[in-house]
Amino acid sequence: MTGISGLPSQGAEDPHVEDPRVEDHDIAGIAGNPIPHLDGNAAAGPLWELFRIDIIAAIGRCKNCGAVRVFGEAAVYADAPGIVVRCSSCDGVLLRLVETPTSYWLDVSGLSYLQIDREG
Amino acid sequence: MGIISSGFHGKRRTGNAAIPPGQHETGTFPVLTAGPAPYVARADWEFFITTEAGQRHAWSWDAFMALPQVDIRTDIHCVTSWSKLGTSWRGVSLDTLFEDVETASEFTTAHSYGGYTTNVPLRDLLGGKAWVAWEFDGEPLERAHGGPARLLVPHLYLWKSAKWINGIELMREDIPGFWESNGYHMHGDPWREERYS
Repeated sequence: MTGISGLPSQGAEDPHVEDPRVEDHDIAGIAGNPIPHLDGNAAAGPLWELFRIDIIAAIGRCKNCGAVRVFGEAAVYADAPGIVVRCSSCDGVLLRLVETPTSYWLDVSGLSYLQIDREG
Repeated sequence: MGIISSGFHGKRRTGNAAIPPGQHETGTFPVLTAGPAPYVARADWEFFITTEAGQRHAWSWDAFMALPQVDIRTDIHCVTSWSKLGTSWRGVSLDTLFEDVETASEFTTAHSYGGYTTNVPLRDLLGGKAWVAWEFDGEPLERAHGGPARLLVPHLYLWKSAKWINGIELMREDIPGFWESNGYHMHGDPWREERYS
Protein backbone atom coordinates (compact mmCIF):
# COMPACT_ATOMS: atom_id res chain seq x y z
CA MET A 1 0.00 0.00 0.00
CA THR A 2 1.50 3.27 -1.06
CA GLY A 3 0.45 6.73 -0.02
CA ILE A 4 0.44 9.77 -2.24
CA SER A 5 3.42 11.21 -0.43
CA GLY A 6 5.39 8.07 -1.11
CA LEU A 7 4.77 7.94 -4.82
CA PRO A 8 7.61 8.73 -7.15
CA SER A 9 7.25 11.77 -9.36
CA GLN A 10 8.33 10.13 -12.58
CA GLY A 11 6.94 11.81 -15.64
CA ALA A 12 6.69 15.20 -14.03
CA GLU A 13 9.92 16.51 -15.47
CA ASP A 14 10.15 14.55 -18.69
CA PRO A 15 7.07 14.95 -20.91
CA HIS A 16 8.06 11.85 -22.89
CA VAL A 17 7.81 9.62 -19.86
CA GLU A 18 4.20 8.76 -19.21
CA ASP A 19 3.08 8.54 -15.66
CA PRO A 20 0.96 5.38 -15.43
CA ARG A 21 -1.18 6.99 -12.77
CA VAL A 22 -2.03 9.99 -14.92
CA GLU A 23 -2.77 7.69 -17.84
CA ASP A 24 -5.85 6.54 -15.99
CA HIS A 25 -7.77 9.75 -16.49
CA ASP A 26 -10.99 8.20 -15.31
CA ILE A 27 -9.83 8.42 -11.72
CA ALA A 28 -9.84 12.05 -10.73
CA GLY A 29 -7.49 13.84 -8.45
CA ILE A 30 -4.39 11.72 -8.89
CA ALA A 31 -1.82 14.42 -8.25
CA GLY A 32 -3.90 17.19 -6.74
CA ASN A 33 -5.91 15.18 -4.33
CA PRO A 34 -3.63 14.01 -1.56
CA ILE A 35 -5.09 12.48 1.56
CA PRO A 36 -3.89 14.71 4.37
CA HIS A 37 -2.08 13.26 7.30
CA LEU A 38 -0.16 14.66 10.23
CA ASP A 39 2.92 13.49 12.07
CA GLY A 40 3.08 11.66 15.38
CA ASN A 41 2.68 14.83 17.38
CA ALA A 42 -1.00 14.83 16.47
CA ALA A 43 -1.56 11.69 18.53
CA ALA A 44 0.48 12.90 21.48
CA GLY A 45 -2.35 14.85 23.10
CA PRO A 46 -4.91 12.06 23.25
CA LEU A 47 -2.27 9.56 24.39
CA TRP A 48 -1.14 12.00 27.09
CA GLU A 49 -4.76 12.10 28.26
CA LEU A 50 -4.68 8.35 28.58
CA PHE A 51 -1.25 7.63 30.03
CA ARG A 52 0.31 10.95 31.07
CA ILE A 53 3.36 10.00 29.06
CA ASP A 54 4.93 12.15 26.36
CA ILE A 55 5.15 9.60 23.62
CA ILE A 56 6.72 11.78 20.92
CA ALA A 57 10.30 10.74 21.64
CA ALA A 58 9.42 7.13 22.34
CA ILE A 59 10.88 4.58 19.95
CA GLY A 60 8.53 2.05 18.47
CA ARG A 61 8.99 -1.06 16.37
CA CYS A 62 6.50 -1.68 13.57
CA LYS A 63 5.12 -5.18 13.73
CA ASN A 64 4.45 -5.15 10.00
CA CYS A 65 7.88 -4.25 8.61
CA GLY A 66 10.15 -4.19 11.62
CA ALA A 67 11.14 -0.56 11.21
CA VAL A 68 12.28 1.08 14.43
CA ARG A 69 11.35 4.75 14.40
CA VAL A 70 10.68 7.64 16.73
CA PHE A 71 6.93 7.89 17.35
CA GLY A 72 6.86 11.51 16.25
CA GLU A 73 7.82 10.40 12.73
CA ALA A 74 4.74 8.24 12.30
CA ALA A 75 1.85 9.25 10.03
CA VAL A 76 -1.34 10.20 11.82
CA TYR A 77 -4.72 10.16 10.14
CA ALA A 78 -7.03 12.13 12.36
CA ASP A 79 -9.83 12.87 9.86
CA ALA A 80 -11.52 9.59 10.55
CA PRO A 81 -13.95 8.08 13.04
CA GLY A 82 -10.90 7.63 15.26
CA ILE A 83 -7.18 8.29 15.19
CA VAL A 84 -5.05 5.98 13.09
CA VAL A 85 -1.26 6.00 13.40
CA ARG A 86 0.64 4.35 10.57
CA CYS A 87 4.25 3.40 10.09
CA SER A 88 6.07 5.95 7.97
CA SER A 89 8.10 3.14 6.41
CA CYS A 90 5.39 0.71 5.31
CA ASP A 91 2.04 2.47 6.01
CA GLY A 92 1.02 -0.41 8.24
CA VAL A 93 -1.34 0.40 11.10
CA LEU A 94 0.58 0.89 14.36
CA LEU A 95 -2.18 2.18 16.58
CA ARG A 96 -5.89 2.94 16.59
CA LEU A 97 -7.59 5.08 19.17
CA VAL A 98 -11.35 5.59 19.36
CA GLU A 99 -13.05 7.72 21.98
CA THR A 100 -16.66 6.82 22.70
CA PRO A 101 -18.91 8.58 25.24
CA THR A 102 -18.02 5.93 27.81
CA SER A 103 -14.61 4.51 26.87
CA TYR A 104 -11.33 4.84 25.10
CA TRP A 105 -10.55 1.97 22.73
CA LEU A 106 -6.85 1.65 22.12
CA ASP A 107 -5.34 -0.91 19.78
CA VAL A 108 -1.56 -1.01 19.71
CA SER A 109 -1.30 -4.41 18.06
CA GLY A 110 0.77 -2.94 15.21
CA LEU A 111 3.62 -2.17 17.58
CA SER A 112 6.04 -4.86 18.71
CA TYR A 113 7.17 -2.54 21.45
CA LEU A 114 7.43 1.06 22.59
CA GLN A 115 10.68 2.09 24.24
CA ILE A 116 9.98 5.06 26.50
CA ASP A 117 12.81 7.07 28.03
CA ARG A 118 12.35 7.22 31.80
CA GLU A 119 14.11 10.56 31.86
CA GLY A 120 11.60 11.91 29.33
CA MET B 1 -30.53 2.26 -18.09
CA GLY B 2 -31.13 5.27 -15.94
CA ILE B 3 -33.23 3.56 -13.35
CA ILE B 4 -33.90 5.69 -10.32
CA SER B 5 -33.89 3.34 -7.40
CA SER B 6 -36.88 3.75 -5.18
CA GLY B 7 -36.82 4.24 -1.48
CA PHE B 8 -34.03 6.74 -1.11
CA HIS B 9 -35.49 9.95 -2.45
CA GLY B 10 -34.79 11.80 0.78
CA LYS B 11 -36.40 15.10 -0.13
CA ARG B 12 -37.88 15.87 3.25
CA ARG B 13 -35.65 18.82 3.97
CA THR B 14 -38.30 20.89 5.72
CA GLY B 15 -37.58 20.72 9.40
CA ASN B 16 -34.60 18.51 8.59
CA ALA B 17 -36.72 15.40 8.95
CA ALA B 18 -34.22 13.69 6.64
CA ILE B 19 -31.43 14.18 9.14
CA PRO B 20 -31.00 11.44 11.77
CA PRO B 21 -30.60 12.34 15.43
CA GLY B 22 -27.23 13.80 16.37
CA GLN B 23 -26.43 14.75 12.77
CA HIS B 24 -26.08 18.10 11.00
CA GLU B 25 -26.32 18.84 7.30
CA THR B 26 -23.23 19.69 5.29
CA GLY B 27 -23.04 21.06 1.77
CA THR B 28 -19.53 19.79 1.22
CA PHE B 29 -18.30 16.22 0.93
CA PRO B 30 -15.70 15.83 3.69
CA VAL B 31 -12.89 13.38 3.06
CA LEU B 32 -12.45 11.06 6.00
CA THR B 33 -9.85 8.39 5.80
CA ALA B 34 -7.97 6.02 8.03
CA GLY B 35 -4.96 5.98 5.77
CA PRO B 36 -3.46 6.71 2.39
CA ALA B 37 -5.72 6.36 -0.61
CA PRO B 38 -4.65 3.32 -2.59
CA TYR B 39 -4.22 3.83 -6.31
CA VAL B 40 -6.11 1.20 -8.25
CA ALA B 41 -6.21 1.49 -12.03
CA ARG B 42 -9.41 0.27 -13.63
CA ALA B 43 -7.40 -2.24 -15.65
CA ASP B 44 -6.23 -3.81 -12.40
CA TRP B 45 -9.47 -3.44 -10.46
CA GLU B 46 -11.50 -6.50 -9.53
CA PHE B 47 -14.59 -7.07 -7.47
CA PHE B 48 -15.06 -10.49 -5.89
CA ILE B 49 -17.65 -12.30 -3.83
CA THR B 50 -16.51 -15.40 -1.96
CA THR B 51 -18.95 -17.72 -0.27
CA GLU B 52 -18.56 -19.50 3.03
CA ALA B 53 -18.15 -22.70 0.99
CA GLY B 54 -15.16 -21.25 -0.84
CA GLN B 55 -16.80 -20.43 -4.17
CA ARG B 56 -15.42 -17.31 -5.79
CA HIS B 57 -17.19 -14.96 -8.17
CA ALA B 58 -15.20 -12.13 -9.70
CA TRP B 59 -15.69 -9.28 -12.14
CA SER B 60 -13.10 -7.25 -13.99
CA TRP B 61 -13.85 -3.58 -14.55
CA ASP B 62 -15.18 -4.31 -18.04
CA ALA B 63 -17.34 -7.18 -16.82
CA PHE B 64 -18.61 -5.00 -13.99
CA MET B 65 -19.50 -2.19 -16.37
CA ALA B 66 -21.37 -4.62 -18.62
CA LEU B 67 -23.80 -5.30 -15.76
CA PRO B 68 -27.02 -3.26 -15.46
CA GLN B 69 -26.16 0.19 -14.16
CA VAL B 70 -28.51 2.20 -11.97
CA ASP B 71 -28.69 5.80 -10.84
CA ILE B 72 -29.09 6.30 -7.11
CA ARG B 73 -30.24 9.44 -5.33
CA THR B 74 -29.79 9.17 -1.60
CA ASP B 75 -28.82 10.84 1.65
CA ILE B 76 -25.59 9.78 3.33
CA HIS B 77 -24.69 9.97 7.01
CA CYS B 78 -21.24 9.90 8.57
CA VAL B 79 -20.75 8.82 12.16
CA THR B 80 -18.63 11.95 12.72
CA SER B 81 -22.05 13.70 12.64
CA TRP B 82 -22.38 15.17 9.16
CA SER B 83 -25.15 14.23 6.75
CA LYS B 84 -25.25 15.08 3.07
CA LEU B 85 -28.68 15.08 1.49
CA GLY B 86 -29.71 14.20 -2.04
CA THR B 87 -26.42 12.85 -3.35
CA SER B 88 -26.32 11.31 -6.83
CA TRP B 89 -24.46 8.12 -7.66
CA ARG B 90 -24.27 5.52 -10.40
CA GLY B 91 -23.31 1.92 -9.91
CA VAL B 92 -24.34 -1.72 -9.81
CA SER B 93 -26.81 -3.09 -7.31
CA LEU B 94 -25.55 -5.77 -4.95
CA ASP B 95 -28.71 -7.67 -5.92
CA THR B 96 -27.25 -7.95 -9.42
CA LEU B 97 -23.85 -9.04 -8.17
CA PHE B 98 -25.37 -11.66 -5.87
CA GLU B 99 -27.69 -13.12 -8.54
CA ASP B 100 -25.67 -16.30 -9.05
CA VAL B 101 -24.23 -16.54 -5.55
CA GLU B 102 -25.50 -19.38 -3.41
CA THR B 103 -25.09 -18.84 0.31
CA ALA B 104 -26.71 -19.59 3.63
CA SER B 105 -24.62 -16.97 5.37
CA GLU B 106 -26.09 -13.99 7.19
CA PHE B 107 -22.83 -12.08 7.57
CA THR B 108 -20.29 -10.47 5.31
CA THR B 109 -16.98 -8.70 5.49
CA ALA B 110 -16.30 -6.00 2.91
CA HIS B 111 -12.65 -5.83 1.86
CA SER B 112 -10.98 -2.75 0.41
CA TYR B 113 -7.77 -2.21 -1.48
CA GLY B 114 -5.44 -0.94 1.21
CA GLY B 115 -6.61 -3.43 3.81
CA TYR B 116 -9.69 -1.73 5.27
CA THR B 117 -12.51 -4.03 6.35
CA THR B 118 -16.03 -3.58 7.64
CA ASN B 119 -18.72 -6.10 8.52
CA VAL B 120 -22.19 -5.70 7.04
CA PRO B 121 -25.09 -8.14 7.52
CA LEU B 122 -26.12 -9.65 4.18
CA ARG B 123 -29.68 -8.44 4.68
CA ASP B 124 -28.35 -4.88 4.59
CA LEU B 125 -26.69 -5.43 1.20
CA LEU B 126 -29.66 -6.98 -0.63
CA GLY B 127 -33.17 -5.83 -1.46
CA GLY B 128 -32.22 -2.61 -3.24
CA LYS B 129 -30.26 -1.28 -0.28
CA ALA B 130 -26.66 -1.29 -1.48
CA TRP B 131 -24.52 -0.71 -4.56
CA VAL B 132 -20.98 -0.75 -5.82
CA ALA B 133 -20.81 2.87 -6.99
CA TRP B 134 -18.29 4.32 -9.42
CA GLU B 135 -19.80 7.68 -10.30
CA PHE B 136 -20.68 10.64 -8.07
CA ASP B 137 -22.54 13.73 -9.28
CA GLY B 138 -22.10 12.63 -12.88
CA GLU B 139 -18.32 12.31 -12.61
CA PRO B 140 -16.04 9.33 -12.04
CA LEU B 141 -15.66 8.79 -8.33
CA GLU B 142 -12.60 10.65 -7.07
CA ARG B 143 -9.92 8.55 -5.51
CA ALA B 144 -10.26 10.48 -2.25
CA HIS B 145 -13.87 9.31 -2.07
CA GLY B 146 -13.06 5.71 -2.91
CA GLY B 147 -12.52 5.66 -6.67
CA PRO B 148 -12.49 3.73 -8.85
CA ALA B 149 -15.42 2.21 -6.93
CA ARG B 150 -16.77 2.05 -3.42
CA LEU B 151 -19.48 0.24 -1.57
CA LEU B 152 -22.57 2.38 -0.98
CA VAL B 153 -24.86 1.33 1.88
CA PRO B 154 -26.62 4.63 2.53
CA HIS B 155 -29.02 3.44 5.22
CA LEU B 156 -26.02 2.72 7.48
CA TYR B 157 -23.31 5.10 8.69
CA LEU B 158 -20.79 5.82 5.97
CA TRP B 159 -17.94 3.85 7.55
CA LYS B 160 -19.84 0.78 6.29
CA SER B 161 -19.66 2.10 2.71
CA ALA B 162 -16.11 0.91 2.22
CA LYS B 163 -14.00 3.01 -0.13
CA TRP B 164 -11.77 1.37 -2.76
CA ILE B 165 -13.94 -1.73 -2.55
CA ASN B 166 -12.30 -4.97 -3.62
CA GLY B 167 -14.86 -7.56 -2.64
CA ILE B 168 -17.37 -9.13 -0.27
CA GLU B 169 -16.58 -12.21 1.78
CA LEU B 170 -19.52 -14.20 3.11
CA MET B 171 -18.86 -15.18 6.71
CA ARG B 172 -20.15 -17.93 8.98
CA GLU B 173 -20.18 -15.47 11.87
CA ASP B 174 -20.18 -11.72 12.39
CA ILE B 175 -16.54 -10.64 12.60
CA PRO B 176 -15.85 -6.99 13.51
CA GLY B 177 -13.96 -4.93 10.94
CA PHE B 178 -11.47 -2.06 11.15
CA TRP B 179 -13.60 0.29 13.26
CA GLU B 180 -15.99 -2.25 14.74
CA SER B 181 -13.10 -3.91 16.56
CA ASN B 182 -12.32 -0.53 18.13
CA GLY B 183 -15.56 0.49 19.72
CA TYR B 184 -17.86 1.15 16.80
CA HIS B 185 -21.22 -0.53 16.45
CA MET B 186 -21.52 -3.85 14.64
CA HIS B 187 -24.53 -2.59 12.64
CA GLY B 188 -24.44 1.23 12.40
CA ASP B 189 -28.02 2.40 11.77
CA PRO B 190 -27.96 6.23 11.94
CA TRP B 191 -31.66 6.46 12.79
CA ARG B 192 -31.02 4.36 15.90
CA GLU B 193 -27.74 6.18 16.59
CA GLU B 194 -25.87 2.90 16.49
CA ARG B 195 -22.51 4.63 16.75
CA TYR B 196 -20.71 2.69 19.44
CA SER B 197 -20.75 -0.85 20.72
